Amino acid sequence: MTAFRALLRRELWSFAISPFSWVLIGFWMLLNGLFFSILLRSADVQSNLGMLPTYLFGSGGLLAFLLLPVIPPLLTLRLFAEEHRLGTLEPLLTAPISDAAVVLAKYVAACLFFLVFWLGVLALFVLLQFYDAPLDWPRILSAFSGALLASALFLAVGLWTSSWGGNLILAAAGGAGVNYMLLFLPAMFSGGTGRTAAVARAMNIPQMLEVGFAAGLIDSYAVLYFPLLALLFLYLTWMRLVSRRWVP
Amino acid sequence: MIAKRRLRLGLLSLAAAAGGVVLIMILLQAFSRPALRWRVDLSSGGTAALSDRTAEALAALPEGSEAVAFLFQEERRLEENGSAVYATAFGRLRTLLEDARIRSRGRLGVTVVGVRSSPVEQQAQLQRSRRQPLETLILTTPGGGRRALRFHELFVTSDPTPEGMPARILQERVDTALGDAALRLANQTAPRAGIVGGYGQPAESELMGLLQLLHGEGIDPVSIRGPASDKDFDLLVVVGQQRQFLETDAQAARAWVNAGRPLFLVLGPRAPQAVVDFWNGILEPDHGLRFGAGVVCDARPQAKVYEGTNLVASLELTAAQFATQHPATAHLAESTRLQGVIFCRPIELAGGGVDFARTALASSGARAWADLDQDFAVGPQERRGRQILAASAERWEAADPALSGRVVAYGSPEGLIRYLPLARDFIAPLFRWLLRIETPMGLVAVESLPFRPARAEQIRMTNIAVIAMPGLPLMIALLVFLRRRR
Amino acid sequence: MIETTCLSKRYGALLALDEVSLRVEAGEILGFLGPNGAGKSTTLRILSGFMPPTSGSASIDGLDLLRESLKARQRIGYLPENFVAPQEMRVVEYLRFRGRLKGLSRRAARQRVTEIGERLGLGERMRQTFGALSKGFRQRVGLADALLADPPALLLDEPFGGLDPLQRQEFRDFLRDLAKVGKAVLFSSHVLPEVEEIADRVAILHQGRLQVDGTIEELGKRAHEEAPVQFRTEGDPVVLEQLLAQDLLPEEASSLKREGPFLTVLPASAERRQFLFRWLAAQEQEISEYRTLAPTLDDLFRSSTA
Repeated sequence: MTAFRALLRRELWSFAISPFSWVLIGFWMLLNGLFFSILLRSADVQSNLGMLPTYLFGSGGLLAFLLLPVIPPLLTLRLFAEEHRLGTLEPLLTAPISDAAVVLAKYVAACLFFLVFWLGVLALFVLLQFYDAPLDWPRILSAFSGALLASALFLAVGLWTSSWGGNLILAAAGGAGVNYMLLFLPAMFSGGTGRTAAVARAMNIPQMLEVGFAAGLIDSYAVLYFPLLALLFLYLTWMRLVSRRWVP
Repeated sequence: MIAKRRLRLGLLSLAAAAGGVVLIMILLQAFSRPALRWRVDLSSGGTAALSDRTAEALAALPEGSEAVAFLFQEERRLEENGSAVYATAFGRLRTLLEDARIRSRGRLGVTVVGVRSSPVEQQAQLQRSRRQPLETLILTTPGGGRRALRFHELFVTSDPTPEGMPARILQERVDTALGDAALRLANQTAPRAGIVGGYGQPAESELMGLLQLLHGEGIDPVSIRGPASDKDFDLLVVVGQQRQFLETDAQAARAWVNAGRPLFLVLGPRAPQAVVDFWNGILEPDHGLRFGAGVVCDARPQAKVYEGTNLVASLELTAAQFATQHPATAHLAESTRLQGVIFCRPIELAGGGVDFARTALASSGARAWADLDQDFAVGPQERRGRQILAASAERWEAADPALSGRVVAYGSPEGLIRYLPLARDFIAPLFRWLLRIETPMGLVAVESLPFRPARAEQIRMTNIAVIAMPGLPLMIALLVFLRRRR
Repeated sequence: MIETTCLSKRYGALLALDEVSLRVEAGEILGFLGPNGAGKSTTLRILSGFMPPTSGSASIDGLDLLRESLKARQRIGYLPENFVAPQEMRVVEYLRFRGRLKGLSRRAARQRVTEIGERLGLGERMRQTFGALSKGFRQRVGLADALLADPPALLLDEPFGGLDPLQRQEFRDFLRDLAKVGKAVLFSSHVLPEVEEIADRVAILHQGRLQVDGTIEELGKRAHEEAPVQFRTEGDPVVLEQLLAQDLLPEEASSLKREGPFLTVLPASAERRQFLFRWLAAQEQEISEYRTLAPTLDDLFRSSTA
C-alpha cells in the first residue's frame, strides 16, 4: 500500500511538473473555450441552455469526438512507453512493488490528472453561473460524470497501448486508434436489426453519452460499461507486465 | 524443451488475456438486459426519462412490438433562420426512445432511421412500416396493430417570423403520445366514434381530415346511417346535419343522450331550424346547452378585416379565448398557438339541471356579434359581446363514468371539414375528453432555460473562456519549464 | 544469499547465457568479470527480477525470482547498467520516492536519503534535476537508490563507471564495510584490477559461459602461471628471436612477439618458465631486463578455454 501510494504520488507529481501536460490542458481549454463562446452566441443555445451540457460533455459537439480519443493516449504514453524508452522502467519494475499496484497507481494518477481537463470545462458552467444563467446543475453534473467515465475508459486504453513497448508513436497512435474504434465502430453498425446491430447498440458510446448522461439520465448499464471495459484494458496491461516476468 | 516452455507460457498468457475479454463481454451482455437495469433521471423536471405511466404502458405491449423513428427534416419552416427545432427534437426523441426500449423490459424494439442511415436501411424501414410523409414515429405490434405519430403530434412549435426569429419548440408531448399509443396498441380495442352520415351530412371524402385525425388519436371512426344503427360505437358524432331524423333515429338520439352517453354535435349556421330545434330540445333541459342563431363575426381592423366583408366570419382564437379550467382546452390556454374557426353558429348556455357542469370551451372576442341578416355588419338587432363558439356539459357525478353525459356542442362544421388544419389542436382533445381517454391533454413543457447575456457580458465571458482560462495552464507550463531546467 | 542454477538465456537465436551457476554468500563480495557482451548484465537483470531466464533458476535468500518475485525483490538493491531516473525530477525527490517505494516510512526515507547522499558525495546535486547531472553523478544516484532500503543482497552492474579515483577508493571501502555487516555483494566489471582489489571471489564470464569461479588468491596464482614473460636484449633482437624460436614448443612459438628491443613469450608451463630462464642465462647476448607481465582478461579467458 505504501508502495502504491508512493508511486501514485510520484506519477501525479510527474504530471504536475511536466510542461507537456499543461500545454495539453491549455490547448484543450482553448478549443473548449472557443467552442463555448461560439455556442453562447447562437440564439438557439441562448433559448435553451439545456443543450450546453450535451455539446460540451456529450457527443453533441465535434470537439469531444475529435479530441477525446486522442488526448488520453498522449497523456498516458509517458507512463510506460516513455519510461521504457528512457530506461526508467527497469528500476521501477525491479523495485518491490507488485505489477498490479504499478498499473493501478499509474492509471489512478492519469485519471486524477485528467479530472483537471474536465474541471476546466466545468469551470465554463461556473462562469455562466456568475452571470446568473439559469443552469440545470444536476443535469450538468450528470453529463460531467459521463464525460469522466468515458475518459477513464480512454485512459485505460492509452495505458494498455503505452505498455506495448518503447515506441511513443505506436503508443499514441495505437491508443487513439483503439479509442476511435470503440467510439465509432459500434455507432456504425448499430443501425440495422439483428444480432450484430443489437451488440453494437449495447456498445454505442456516443448514444450512451448523448441520450444518457448528457440528458441527465444515469443508466446502470452505462455506469457499469465504462468501468468494466476500463478494467479489461487494465487487466491486459497487467498481463503485459506479468508476462514479461514469466514468459522466457 | 526451452522452445516448448516458451510456447506453453506464451499461450497461457494469451489464453488468460482472451479469458478476460470473454468474461467482460459476458458481464456486459448480462448487465445490458433491461430486467437488470435501473435508471435515475437527474434532469430538473424529470424530462430525461418517460413517465411511469408511459413506461407501464410500454411494458404492457405484446412481445416483439416495434417503434421506428424516422428522423427526417421534412418541414422547411422548421429549419428557417437557423432554427434548431429538429436538432433538439431529434435529440429528445432519441433520449426518450432509448428510455422506452429499456423501460419496456425488452418488449419494444426501437429503430432509429435518420438521414445518415444507409439508403437500403431507409428503404427497408419505409416499406416495412408503410410510412406516410410527416410520420415521425411508428409503433407496430406483432398482431398487426399500428400507430403513427406525426412530428407536430410530438412537438408543438412556433413558426419562424419574418423578422428572422427561428421556429422554436414550445411544448413537447412525446411522453404522452407514446404512452397513449402504447395503451391503445396494448388494448387492441380502440374506442369507436359513430359518425352519422345519413341526413345530408358531408360526404366521407370531405371528412377525410377528420377521419385521419381520429385514427391518429387512436379512435376508430365508424360510419353509421343514424343513431339507431346497430353498429357498435362509443361516441355519437353528428357533423352538419341537414335533414330531420326519422323517428327511429330521433328516438335513438334522445335515448343516447338521456342515458348519459357522449355526443359531439356540430351544427353550423346553415343547419335547418327544425334540426336545431330538435337538438336544443334534447340538450337544453338537462345539459343547459343550446345553439343560437346567426354567424359569429368579429372585425379585426388591425389585420385589415373590416365589417361588411365575409372575412369577419373567420375568427382567430388566441390563448385567452379558451377555457383555462377545462382539460380539453387548458393546453391551448397556456400555449401561444392560434386556432382558426370559420363560419360558426353561436352557442348559448341556458337553463339546464343543477347536476350538470357547463363550460364555454372557446369564445370570440368582446367586440364580436352574432350576425343574423348575413350583411356581416352590426345591425339594429345584433348586439356586440362575447359569443360562445363551443361548449361542453357533463354530469357533476355519475355512477358509471362512461355514462356521465359528456356533450360537446360546436357551431362550425366547416371547422371539421375544410378548415380542420386551423383548429387541430382544439378539436383533437375534444374527442379525447369525450371518450375519456385518460391522458393529460396538456403538453409537457420541454425544458427551456433561456439566457440572453448583454453584448458586454458576452464579450467578457468570451475573454475569460478563450484567453484567461486557457492562459492559466499555459502559464503554468512555462513556469514549470523554466524552474525545472536545472 | 544470491544463487543461480544452470541459468540460460536465449535471445532468439543468440544464446546469451549458457548454464551459469553462481553463489554469493552473505558477507561475501563476488566480482563478476567479463568483456562487454559476455552476459553479465543479463545475469544481473535476471537476478533483479526484471526478466525471466529461458531455463534454470535464480534465487535471492532462498526465494525464487519467478515464483516469489515480489518477496525476492524486497531483498535486493539493484543498480542497472547506465542507470537513468526521470529527467525532470530532482535527485532528492527521486530518492525519497524510491525510499517510499521500497517500504520506508516518510521519516526514514528522508533520513536515509540525507545519509546516503552525504556518503556518496551528492551534496549540492541533491537539488538538481536528474537531467542536469553528469554521467558520474547519475551513477551515484543509482548507487544511492540501490543502497536506500539497506537490502541484504546488492546487485551492481558496473558500479565504478562514473566515479573518479578518489570516489572509487571511498566506494570500495563502503562496499567492504557492507560485506562486513553481512551483505552479499555481486558486482560486475570489465576491469581486472578493480575486481582484484575488493572482491573475495571472482567469476569470469565469456560468451555466456562461466569460465572461472575462484578466490582472488587462486586467480592470482593462476594469473602468475599464465603471465607472459618479457625480456630486453642489448644485442640484436632479431638474432635472439631466431635462436629462441628453435628451442620453443610450437604453441610457445606462436606467442613469441618482438617489439623494438623487447621479446615477449608465454611459457607453456612452470617447468618451461624455468627452462626459459636457464636458456636466457646461457646466451651470449646480454639480457638487461626480465619480467613477468600481468595477464589481461583476454589472457585469462584464452588460458581457461584452452
